[in-house]
Amino acid sequence: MIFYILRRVFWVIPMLLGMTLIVFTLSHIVPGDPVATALGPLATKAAVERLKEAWRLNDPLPIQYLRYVKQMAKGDLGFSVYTRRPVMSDIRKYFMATFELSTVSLLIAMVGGIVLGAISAARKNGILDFMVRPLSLFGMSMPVFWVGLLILLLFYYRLGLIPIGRRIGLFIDPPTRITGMYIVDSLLTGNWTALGSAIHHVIGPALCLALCPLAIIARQTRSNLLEVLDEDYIGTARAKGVSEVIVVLKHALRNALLPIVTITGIQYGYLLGSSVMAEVIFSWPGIGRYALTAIRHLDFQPVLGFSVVMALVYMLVNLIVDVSYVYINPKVRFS
Amino acid sequence: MKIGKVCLVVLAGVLLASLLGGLALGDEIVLVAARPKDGESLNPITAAVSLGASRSVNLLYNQLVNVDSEKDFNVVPGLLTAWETEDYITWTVHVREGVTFHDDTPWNAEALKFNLDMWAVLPEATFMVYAGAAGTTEILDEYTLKIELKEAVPLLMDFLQTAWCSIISPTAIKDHATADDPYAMEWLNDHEAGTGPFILESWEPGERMVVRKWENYWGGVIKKTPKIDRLIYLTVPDAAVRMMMLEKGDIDLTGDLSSEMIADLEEMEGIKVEGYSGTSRRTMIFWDITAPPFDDLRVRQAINYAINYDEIIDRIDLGYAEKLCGMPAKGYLGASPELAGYYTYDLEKAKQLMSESKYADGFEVDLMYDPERYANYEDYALYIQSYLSEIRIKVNIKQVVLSTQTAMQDEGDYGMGLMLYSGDSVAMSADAVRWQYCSHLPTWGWRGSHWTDDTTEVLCPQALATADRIKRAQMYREIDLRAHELAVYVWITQLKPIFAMQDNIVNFRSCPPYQEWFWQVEKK
Repeated sequence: MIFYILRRVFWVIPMLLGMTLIVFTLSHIVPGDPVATALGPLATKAAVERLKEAWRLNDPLPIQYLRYVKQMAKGDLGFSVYTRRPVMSDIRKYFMATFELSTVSLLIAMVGGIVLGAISAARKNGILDFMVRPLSLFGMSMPVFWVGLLILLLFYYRLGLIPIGRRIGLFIDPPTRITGMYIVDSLLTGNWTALGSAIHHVIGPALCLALCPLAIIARQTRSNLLEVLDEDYIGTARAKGVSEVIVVLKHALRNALLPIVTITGIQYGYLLGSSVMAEVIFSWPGIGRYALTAIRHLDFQPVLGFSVVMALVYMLVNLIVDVSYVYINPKVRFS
Repeated sequence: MKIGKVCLVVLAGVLLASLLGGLALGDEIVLVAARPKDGESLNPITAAVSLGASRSVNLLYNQLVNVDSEKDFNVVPGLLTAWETEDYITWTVHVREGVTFHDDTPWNAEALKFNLDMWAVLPEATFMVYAGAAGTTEILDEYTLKIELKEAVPLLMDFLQTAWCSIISPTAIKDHATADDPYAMEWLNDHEAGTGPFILESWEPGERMVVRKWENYWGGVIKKTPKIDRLIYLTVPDAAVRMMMLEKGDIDLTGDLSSEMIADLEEMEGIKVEGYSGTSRRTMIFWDITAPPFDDLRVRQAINYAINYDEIIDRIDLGYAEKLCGMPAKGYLGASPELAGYYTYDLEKAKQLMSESKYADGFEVDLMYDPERYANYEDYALYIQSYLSEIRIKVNIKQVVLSTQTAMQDEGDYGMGLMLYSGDSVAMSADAVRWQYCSHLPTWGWRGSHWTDDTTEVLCPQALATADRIKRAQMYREIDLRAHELAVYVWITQLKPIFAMQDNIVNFRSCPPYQEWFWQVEKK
């Protein structure tokens, strides 16, 4: 197992190198001068040249790329020409907001998807099944921006149930920063007012992001569960008089979970990637908006930093998913 | 089941606590405003060149001089009370007494010397553009400083009123300086140390900035302290969301809305919409006049005549705009209001000019624009596409980000670019003129025409070196007329920034260059 994990970690290196090379090349194909953009139309040629020299942007591209890889290996993701801050410090600030949002979305998607899928399978062709199936199709088909606007219109504008435009109440101070995730930090510091407000504020964007993965998980759960419920050992359990709830939850669901875990891992990557739209609509100050701003200002190093962090998270999540197979299904062995 | 119930009760309690927490406002007068984007930093030296950042900087900092936007945009005292010079090289400036920074450091000649010396050595300082001539400074007494420039800069005071020439507390900089960062540039990214009307309470970039009234504020140009206790500035990128928040009463004020939204809001009870004159937001069409098909004067003139400006103003901008008269916009030094009528909609004339041009059969061209630059640009592009189809020009609309657009404009031969140009300050018509019409300064794509003209090339530096405002204005007019004769651009509209607000908000103003003035706002 350890050898398997080490091998997977080793493969992260060439993947990261390939990914950074592609993003680096693409970033430099786009016409524009990030330093001139940052300094504005007033900048003199001398001022632009001075800063380019100071930030070593006049070196040949391969040298710049090698230098970037070298500093990346040390955990330094470079410097943002636009925000004038180290990219790592910017990413630390914005990533945790996205991580919090994506994690809450994933929790909603997992719990909602598995419950709905299980009910739908257990009551096949029942009223609930007939309701869940089109609903999941609807959830999968709706683009994030459209779902976001619908949620805003219904839950914010019409019903007034959710707040928007920030991560915490207007007149509530954010909790003391420990992780950067308001919910976790509020819990750790025992700041219940901030906790309630943070949960209240994350519901809207999290629902918006969760709808699509929820629908996918629900459909996958339903189809897997239906397959497992046809197995002989389920028939045996029923014949022995085990209640249907126990049959579904204890005997069938666990065996149906393996593909769902895979789907969930993939969906987590989707959530991180598609958070940009939700962040814009719900004014959530996450890394998606940070990357978007960086792209608008041709600020290459934050774009690279964003890509590196996202790729790492995606690979890490996939690794965790693969490793979790062993615990979910004892028959799985990594040899 | 029990665990589930306990969880529900805890969650309900926590949510209730958050709601009660939100009600704890006391008697404070709090104004909540929303804007589409935040500044990237609070450091006036490095970031104030961007509109988002300069909006924040102007709340927290003051400049040495200001402009009188009520009258003629002339320079008026700010943190300086007076200045004298005979040759525009040696300046004696008098520092305002009784002003303190937010960290209680007194404002005096020593603090001024520190700021000027700092600007002169920092490569990031935009002030260097003008003060390439920065020389030496000498303290004459506690409130008087002598500045010796390397060359004459007649417009020095005009330049000093920009947000990036904001004055910073020397104590704060010294306290937070490091060996690698001797002027605490990094610290200034997230903190402030100004003399402005508000003090920074908290700033979560991209989310919200909270400032509170500076009780010891010296009063600024209008000699008054703010009337609100706190200002919460939310960053809400989506215009539709800002509109919803305004309707729900979650925010008091917002801007940057599209015409459709403004039209809806005008009809709503409890909400008022106000447009503000006198700002320098100009919409224009850029093209490279050295590359075909725009190297043909008749093509450029035909396009100028083919556009129905009145229709754009009435239908798209709902009347909150007027025909742009030239680079110094109406109300600014050197503006020629009569040039607004130089090109008016005349389709027959446009057709005739096209038929006489080298491109009588028409041509196909790209029109690029950044949709985030102006809420109504999409409509502008569609209307322009429709107008130009009448003179056999097929326009392909392309959305790009501004940095790409300026880079392409800098390279040249890019088709057409729809640009919103807001200038940098009201007293700097000089820059508006020389950036757009002269070739001796790099503009990184903001001067899209690539036009070089002998007369203009001589007049621009002359104007810049002329301290006499009347003579300078005359030179600007001459340059602008020349540009119109040669149809160097299409001058479309001068926009009035529109803000929608709750109807209990009074005394809000938007002043050049598109800055929100909050310090006289009241909530009735």
